[in-house]
Amino acid sequence: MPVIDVSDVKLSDGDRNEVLRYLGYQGQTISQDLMDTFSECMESVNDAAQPKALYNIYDLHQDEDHLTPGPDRKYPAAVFPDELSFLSGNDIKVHLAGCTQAVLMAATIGLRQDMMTRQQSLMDPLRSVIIDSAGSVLVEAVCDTAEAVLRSRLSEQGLFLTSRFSPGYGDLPLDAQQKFSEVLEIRRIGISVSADFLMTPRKSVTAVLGIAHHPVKKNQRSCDSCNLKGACRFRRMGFFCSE
Amino acid sequence: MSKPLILDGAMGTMLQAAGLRPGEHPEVFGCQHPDVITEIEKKYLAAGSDVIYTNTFGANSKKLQGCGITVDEAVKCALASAEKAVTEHEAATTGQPTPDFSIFKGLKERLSEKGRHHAIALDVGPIGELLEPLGTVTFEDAYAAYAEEIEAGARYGADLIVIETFTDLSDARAAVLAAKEHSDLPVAVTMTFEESGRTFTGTTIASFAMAMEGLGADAVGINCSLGPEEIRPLIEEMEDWTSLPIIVKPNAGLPDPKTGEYRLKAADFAAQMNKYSDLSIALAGGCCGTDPEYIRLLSDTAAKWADPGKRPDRRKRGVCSPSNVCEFGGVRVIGERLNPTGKKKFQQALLEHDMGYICKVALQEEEAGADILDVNVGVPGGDEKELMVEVLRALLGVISLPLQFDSRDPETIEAALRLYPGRAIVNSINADDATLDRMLPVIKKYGAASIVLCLDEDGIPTDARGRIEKAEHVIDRCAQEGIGPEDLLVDCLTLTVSAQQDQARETLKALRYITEHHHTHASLGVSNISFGLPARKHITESFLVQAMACGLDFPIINPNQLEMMDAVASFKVLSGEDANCASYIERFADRVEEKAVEKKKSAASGNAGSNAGSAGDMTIEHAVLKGLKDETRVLAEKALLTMSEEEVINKELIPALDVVGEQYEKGILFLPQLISSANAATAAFDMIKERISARNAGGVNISRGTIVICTVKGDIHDIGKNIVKVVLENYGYHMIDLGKDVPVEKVVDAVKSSGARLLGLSALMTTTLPAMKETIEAVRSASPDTKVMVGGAVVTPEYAAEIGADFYCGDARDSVKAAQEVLG
Repeated sequence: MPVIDVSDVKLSDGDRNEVLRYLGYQGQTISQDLMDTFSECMESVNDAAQPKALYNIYDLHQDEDHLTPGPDRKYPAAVFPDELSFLSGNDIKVHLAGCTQAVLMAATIGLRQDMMTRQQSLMDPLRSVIIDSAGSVLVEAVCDTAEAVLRSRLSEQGLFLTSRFSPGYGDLPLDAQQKFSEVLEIRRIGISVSADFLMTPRKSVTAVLGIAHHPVKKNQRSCDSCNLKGACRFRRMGFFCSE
Repeated sequence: MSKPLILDGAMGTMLQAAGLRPGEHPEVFGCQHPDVITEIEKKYLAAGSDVIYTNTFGANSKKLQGCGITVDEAVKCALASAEKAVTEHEAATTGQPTPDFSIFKGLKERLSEKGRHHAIALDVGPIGELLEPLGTVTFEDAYAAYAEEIEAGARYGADLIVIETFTDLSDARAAVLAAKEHSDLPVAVTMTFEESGRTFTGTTIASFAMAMEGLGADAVGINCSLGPEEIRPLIEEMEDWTSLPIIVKPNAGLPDPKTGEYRLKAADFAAQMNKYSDLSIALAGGCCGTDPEYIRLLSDTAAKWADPGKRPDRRKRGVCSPSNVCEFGGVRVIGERLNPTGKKKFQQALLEHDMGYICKVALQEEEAGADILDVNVGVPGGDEKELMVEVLRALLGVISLPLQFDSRDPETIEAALRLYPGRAIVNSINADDATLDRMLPVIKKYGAASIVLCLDEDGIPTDARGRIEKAEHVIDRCAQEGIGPEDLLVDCLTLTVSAQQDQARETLKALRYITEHHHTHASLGVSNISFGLPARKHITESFLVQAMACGLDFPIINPNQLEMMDAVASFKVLSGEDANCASYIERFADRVEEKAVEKKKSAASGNAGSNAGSAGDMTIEHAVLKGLKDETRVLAEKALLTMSEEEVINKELIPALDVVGEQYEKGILFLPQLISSANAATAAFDMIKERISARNAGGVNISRGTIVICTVKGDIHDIGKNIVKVVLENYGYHMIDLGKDVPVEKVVDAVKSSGARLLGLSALMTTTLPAMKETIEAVRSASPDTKVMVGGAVVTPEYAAEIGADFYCGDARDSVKAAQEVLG
């Protein structure tokens, strides 16, 4: 499988707001001590991280007889090749509407993050929650980087890339994770999936993106179709994950 | 054996070329198209493979689940294809010489019985899920899956077993043990390393080699992930750590990042492989991206390589965890703190299964610089074997130091060695023949090192001569079992100098003799020397230094005592072990600075007229709100001058925490601030608890009641649960934390044995919500009076009500309200 070199992706000072946001920060006054703790934790996450990403591209067929509503207009429905038949549900079809190819990608920041979080949860709960959030932000940054690399390569060919759509979003069931991991061989970057569809390392992401010949509107994630709607910590605090 | 045996190349690559689709099970494909497999294997045989691997890489119950064929069918079919390939190949190429299979015991005989001269290896790949503590699969479950596949392989005629492409040492051990215990076939093992010399899970080359030689594998090596050039330095390192025959089975180079295609052509692969010619490789082949052409060229080149039978045994010794190697040679500190003897808190933690506390003690030892940790869980009222396994599993999740298992119960030792993914030390064996009869086979089977006590069933000899005799008896017995002296740590026994003053000399005399006359190492439980004397540390330190001078290289001490660790650091300079005094300088460079800072600090606080530093006019509430640990503690100490402990807790700390809770609810504080406030209050609580226990005033009980808390079965998220625990502890509740992924029965047991009136359950995944329901039902019937609170990202108030929980907790603050309602 093709890989993208993301080994240099690190958290920077600018990512601190994102780490804070994961922890429900809404502008409270923060002491210098706490700020320093955030910086130290982000540095530990950077030190422990071993970011990796891989992807593969699959051809989609177009069913001209069936139109699917896409983000802006109706498109011929995407027909998946056999190996992607595990991508079930309507939402992924909408996400890939009008796309001629699909990208499966996976990214991780590695297992050392998990060990560090376990250790800190015993020694210092404050640090453990910050490290956990910082890890989430870093793996997102790794995904963003990988996505940007792909996007720029594709744009050279006049192609466009949709946003990421992961198992568990909308009506794409989490159990798609299992087949996803086999088809993309995500073990090659050290990710494994448990019987409960949990990924190890914990800070790992799998996602599907579409490639189109025409510009694609960024697909805003919608709460209505989200599995976590009832229990979302962002919604509870009054904001959204896609902001 | 004069040249390497040639293995085959990739199966997956060939199957894809023959029509296997991505994500399709190769075993299912193989059963549907057995002749395709036979044809591929025949091509490898024609290319020069002496050994072919069966198409069974994923033929285990975990991977085959739901794909329509059983493990038995997959293995049977794959072996039939391989058998047919060998038969047809040999029929067409009569008169070929039989390769030299002598590195695998009994293989030559097995093949000649079958009348063929190519070997069929049952290919055993990983189950694909990670074992605890990285994942959720237990060692026993993994073992059972491998055992099933291996039994089928043996039944259908495999000649040897190859365990390949593993990344987790625990997983690889499960497979090797299954192979050793469910067949009498030779076992070869290869793991997959990154260029860093570690697997994805952090296993080092040395750990892998040491653990596998310990378990009695017949060959070890590396396959997949990298090309020949990148693997070569890793193989060189492996040769430092094992005397076993070495296998190398690289990919066709690294994949092109843009296409994923492997970059080496067959000729380049063979050219890179030829650089192994001086390494005495015993088995060579190809992995991903290679095909019969690669193997044909490899086979031609390898015929001229160094004789693998003549590799000298230059292996280094040591003990290891998967990620950390402690090489023998020089002083290595064994931490003694994981031991309940004389430690009330530790005893209580064991009986309440509070693994968090135990892991904390271990992490402190690791931080203090211990090299190995001794683990002793013997406590009255506890099942030692079960506790040892429980503690070991918990430690594996957070500790990377190698471990030493300390027990007199052979079953406890055996259970720990079986599970431990590395090479451990057994503490201890002695010269009693009955003990040796029982223990030596176990130590041999798992390849552990051992501490040898110089005593027997008649007790401790009173002079050096007697102790030396006991040690030599054990050294002889071990030699007969094939356990060398370099794996023994002789303990000449420390007796209390205030009681038997002449004995310290005898101990040192025996120690000096043993280390001068035998190739063993020496350990000693040092602290015992000073028991009953004032200012113990002076005696202990002096004895430690003298003992090291007599050859002690494994002192068992408390690494948290700075003086002891300083003495070890100093000794390493004088013995020459600390080259250029580098570690010593590093150790003390910071210390000098610290002292200067301390002086400055004390001068400053001297001016302020108080040791509270900046506390000044601050109130406890303010200090807690700001999350200031030291200030909160100091202010609480001050308050204790005029108030009782209970008053400080109820009138100062709890109201302060209430304010924190309110401000959190209103969004004035956010989560990290809530936690730092809780941490600050903890500092004051801990101080108060210590005062009470120091006064030994059993009458004062500051606990407001007991709460059992855990993350339910199947779920490994515990950050939210940990926050709730810390906050509730601060409100004075006694928390029994069972950890994460906790089986229903364990929760029921804990609730029953503690009599807890409140239970907290957490779940973060929709898939584990049923486990939450199941746990509540079981607790309800076992302990109807216990109230249950639930929380976690996926839990909603409606669901909480539906599954019969008494309280839904959206955050830690809610849990305090629930606790106050139930326990006051």
